[in-house]
Amino acid sequence: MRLSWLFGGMALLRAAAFGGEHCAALGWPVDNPSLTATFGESRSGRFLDGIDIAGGAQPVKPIEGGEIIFVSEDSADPRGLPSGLGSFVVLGHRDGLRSLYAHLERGSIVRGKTSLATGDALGSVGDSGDTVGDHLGLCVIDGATGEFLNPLTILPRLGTTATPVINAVSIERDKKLTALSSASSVAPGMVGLVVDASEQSPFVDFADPMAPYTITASLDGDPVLSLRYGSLGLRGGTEVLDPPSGRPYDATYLGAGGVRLGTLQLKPGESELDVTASDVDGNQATARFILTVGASP
Amino acid sequence: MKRIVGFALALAILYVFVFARPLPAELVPKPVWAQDLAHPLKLASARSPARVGFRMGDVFGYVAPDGLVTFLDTVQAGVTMSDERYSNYSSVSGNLVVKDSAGRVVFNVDSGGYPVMEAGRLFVVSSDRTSLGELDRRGASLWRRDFGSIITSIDASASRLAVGLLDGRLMVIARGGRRLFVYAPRGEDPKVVYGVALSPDNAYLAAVAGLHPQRLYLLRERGEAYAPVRSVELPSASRSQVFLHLFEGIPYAFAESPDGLRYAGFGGGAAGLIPSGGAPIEDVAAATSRRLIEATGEDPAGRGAALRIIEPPGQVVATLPLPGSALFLRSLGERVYFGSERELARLDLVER
Repeated sequence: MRLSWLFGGMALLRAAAFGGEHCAALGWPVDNPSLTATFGESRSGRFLDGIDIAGGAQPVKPIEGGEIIFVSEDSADPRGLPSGLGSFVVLGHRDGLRSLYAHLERGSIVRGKTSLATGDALGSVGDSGDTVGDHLGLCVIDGATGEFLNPLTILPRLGTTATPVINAVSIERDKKLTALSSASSVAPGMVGLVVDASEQSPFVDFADPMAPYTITASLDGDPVLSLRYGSLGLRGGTEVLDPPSGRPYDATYLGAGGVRLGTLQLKPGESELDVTASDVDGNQATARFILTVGASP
Repeated sequence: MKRIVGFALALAILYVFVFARPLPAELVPKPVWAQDLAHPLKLASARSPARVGFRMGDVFGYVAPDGLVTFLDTVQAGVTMSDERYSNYSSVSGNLVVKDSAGRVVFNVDSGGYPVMEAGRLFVVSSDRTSLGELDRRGASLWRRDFGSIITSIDASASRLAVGLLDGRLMVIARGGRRLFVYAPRGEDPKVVYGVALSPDNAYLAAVAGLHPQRLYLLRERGEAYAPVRSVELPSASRSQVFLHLFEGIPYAFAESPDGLRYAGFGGGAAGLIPSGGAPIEDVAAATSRRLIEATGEDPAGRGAALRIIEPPGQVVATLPLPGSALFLRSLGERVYFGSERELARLDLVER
């Protein structure tokens, strides 16, 4: 557990290193950005490795000046690899940071340029690839580690005030979920903690629930479990959230029922369980549960 | 109407074959048939069960060796096909439907990605292009692997799969999904693999990587791994996928570029260019006589599309003008199937 916190802290430091150095210089790729999907949310049985930004046809600008290092035009050559990213561009920035802009309008990718300055248009927001409407997919990659970083940790803060929503908190025992109410009686022993929390968005009615930035749990005031949507990387050929201590998708998401935060040891007596979901802007929601841990539920 | 179609077909055949210059070697191109797909075709059932899958622009189908088109359909977002099966997929990933060459459903599975048929195998690339798996002939998953990076290109043999990645790694995966080999050229700037190729017999592996400069890397099989043989600096750099070609028994790698087909030998020697005059290369195939057939589109000067027969590594021994842009090329032994505009044709390379 302590190791998990340590590695989580390292990921935070790394993001802070990029953020600290770049944040002032980095910019959003579109005007008036509005999020429709967040980093690490469940998408077709996988973690989403970037964010989706709503928007009709408008120019897409680099988050920072950089060199165009890869371009893929949707359906330009029938021999090319099919891609849900549609038409996309990858830029290489200083310090090895890379940014990827997906679902661009077909034929809109800038031609005749090999590098772009902040403010230059690299293409237009479109609906190419695996989409159901115009939007921009943005990924940020740490070139040194190869990890996908949560773009929200290094882009200027959006300054939103909406708090995340904790829809349900359940305990998992023998693969059975039991939803907790504000006062619940539970049996002692090891249980899994499952949290269904999401960011508020006018788009969630028709899109996948947006993941918050962190979910934490504390028992009687002591932090015991946490999940941070900070970065995605590889461990043994499998993608994991917050490597190297992170976990694969199948061990994290529980269908539509939320995420497995980890396991808790419940001891007989009365305990306070606090579950907190936070976004990158610091907005947070906390749900408190008074658990009466008895000999039998 | 039938007369007009027949006349057009006859003209097309004459155009292709009368203007053809004979090969200086013993082989000559012999016209076999041509089909005009622009007009409503009556689909036929052929005597031979053999089929050749073809895609020409927004249509695809199957043709028997005798020229009878047995199946024709319109491409959705994309189609991937072998000579036995195809998957005509939409832009939104989800269900993967595989049909046989007569259009009958073989299986329908929830794949979460896009299908790619290569070397008689069926792969599924995840929508975000960072993961890839293989399905068996019934649609069951054989293996799946996350790469942690965007996949830029793949090439498969019957037993191996080469994967090029945006993070600069080149990987070879065994049939069961086990990683056999990983290679990341040192000093690349930036670390990006733009194209990969694997020879059908697994003997040769090639990749194009980097930008400053861009280099063609040649590797030769050594046990289950590969050993770098040489790298060749390319005079121009592509920032998109580079289409690379390796052929069994031909010890050269061929890389498509805007100025033509570049080649370099595994045994050393000078690298070279087969200039295309700015004409885009549509595809390259090899006949069993170890000659290459290259299809090119129209060049900037307005000269039309052509098929070129190449004596490896770089001698063009025949040029066959085409009436329109080349859209499809396939060789099976000495049989060459090609498509141009809406015309599908077959010629055979035969000894004089």
